[in-house]
Amino acid sequence: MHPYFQMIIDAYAAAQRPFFHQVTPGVARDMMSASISAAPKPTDLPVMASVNNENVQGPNGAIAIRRYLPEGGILGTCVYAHSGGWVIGDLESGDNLCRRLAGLASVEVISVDYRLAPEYPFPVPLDDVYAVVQWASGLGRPLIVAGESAGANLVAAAAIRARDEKGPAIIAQLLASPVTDHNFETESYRTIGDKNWLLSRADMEWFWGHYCAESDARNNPLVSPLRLKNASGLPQAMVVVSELDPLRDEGLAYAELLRTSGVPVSVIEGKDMLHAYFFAAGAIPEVAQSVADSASWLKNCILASNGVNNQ
Amino acid sequence: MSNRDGKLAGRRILITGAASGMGRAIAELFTREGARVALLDLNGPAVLELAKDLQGFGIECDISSAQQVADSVAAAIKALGGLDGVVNAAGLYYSKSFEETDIESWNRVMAVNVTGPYHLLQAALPALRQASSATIVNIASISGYLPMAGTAAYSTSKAAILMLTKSLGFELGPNIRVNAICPGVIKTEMTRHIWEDPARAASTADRVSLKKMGEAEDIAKAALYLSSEDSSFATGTEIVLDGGFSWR
Repeated sequence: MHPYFQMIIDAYAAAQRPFFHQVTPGVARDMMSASISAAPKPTDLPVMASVNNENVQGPNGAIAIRRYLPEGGILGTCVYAHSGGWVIGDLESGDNLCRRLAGLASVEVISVDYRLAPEYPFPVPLDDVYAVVQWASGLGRPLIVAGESAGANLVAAAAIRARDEKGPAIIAQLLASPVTDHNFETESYRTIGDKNWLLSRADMEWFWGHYCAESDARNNPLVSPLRLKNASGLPQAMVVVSELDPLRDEGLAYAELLRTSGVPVSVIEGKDMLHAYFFAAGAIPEVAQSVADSASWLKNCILASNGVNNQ
Repeated sequence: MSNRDGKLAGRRILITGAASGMGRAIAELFTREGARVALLDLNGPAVLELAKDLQGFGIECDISSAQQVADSVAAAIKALGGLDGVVNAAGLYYSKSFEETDIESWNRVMAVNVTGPYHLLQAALPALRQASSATIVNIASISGYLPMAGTAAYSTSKAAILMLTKSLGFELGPNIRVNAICPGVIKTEMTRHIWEDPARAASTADRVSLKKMGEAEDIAKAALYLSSEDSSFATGTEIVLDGGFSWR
């Protein structure tokens, strides 16, 4: 394990920090917010021309969004969904990454404060993300989606919905440590699931229980994208997984599903990294490089969508 | 755009640093000579614009990133249907005395000028091996063998590329030829600090036997020679194009 993550694990242990599955959703949200606000702001974030909180109307009412406009030319729009197992997290959880993606890929990033389970189980969080995707397509620029962990699950599902409902054209999807399935018996779950390295099997069972309690309903590809019968026609994907993440294998399996369906896929495997490791970009140069590589990939997808490169 | 009688007709060539300077001149000349080109550059919008003009493939790529190079080369190979040649023209100039060269700058110069070609050739070699007659051209510099004031980091990186050229010339035959070009002072963005300053431009030109700075097209013509069958007996060697700068 990279020493930076070991330091975090040790600090949590020393503080006797409970695990998410041992507390209520409200306490878990407070724990997440406390971690985010306690972390020093990275000094290497790109400068934004503007950052604004706004609202978008969706089927369940107003959805809070945060819009990040980087300095310089804007090539496209990126709808971003934060991590947190559909239960915790908010606009602050992804704030640093949104700034990085906006600056590095020259896109406006729109972060979605989707409604959270258990108050709002499936399909409400997905409805919120999809509504923002539809709204963002109205901005008229090339459109991409990005998410981390459960947020990656939501944007992957939004991409499936957009394909099936002939909705907005999504050019590319960045899926970082995605939740793609409800199978807890993968190799990575079996070897890492009980170690409590930022995310455990017990946490994931707890998150799943809040988001989609009924086991049959979990087979819906909009809940478990890996259960898709046919992935062809989905947007090209960058799948980022961490070596030491219980979700590693379901991420790799989704990349493989897309690839075998003819969807161009690029994969980054973060060696020695834990779940959803992009948050460490300010502390670990290799992580900053992975973020830069992901952003460059997104940018190339947009650039290539403008009718060039069709040989 | 395609030239069936060109010296590079039917050849598929990947060029790094292709959006400006020598890389750009090489991309333009190679296209005129019938090659289909894949262009990589740190400046995505610019390289895609050029790719559009040349009916080639363009992609943004920081060649110091193994991931970006792997993705870009894979996309280029897919677009061109294979690869017959590579020109490593991407480079970073850095000028400070050795004592003022901090470790970040040193590492960055090496990452772009030395490790960049490493990543690129590692990614491209499987495709080059498939080609019947493949070529690799590395843009080095007279700095690679000639010490000059304030160029310790840059010169060291270029000396490394010259030795990489020799090593790969030795290692990659008989179907892959590897050669280098050592430009002197060429009028590009990299040397803007020289040619924009009339006094410096004059003293630089005065040092050259031919009394002028080189043009990017001069280098492109040598790259054409080394990427075509005209140079079929050349490998592991270098062409110095400096107007006589080295010997004065």
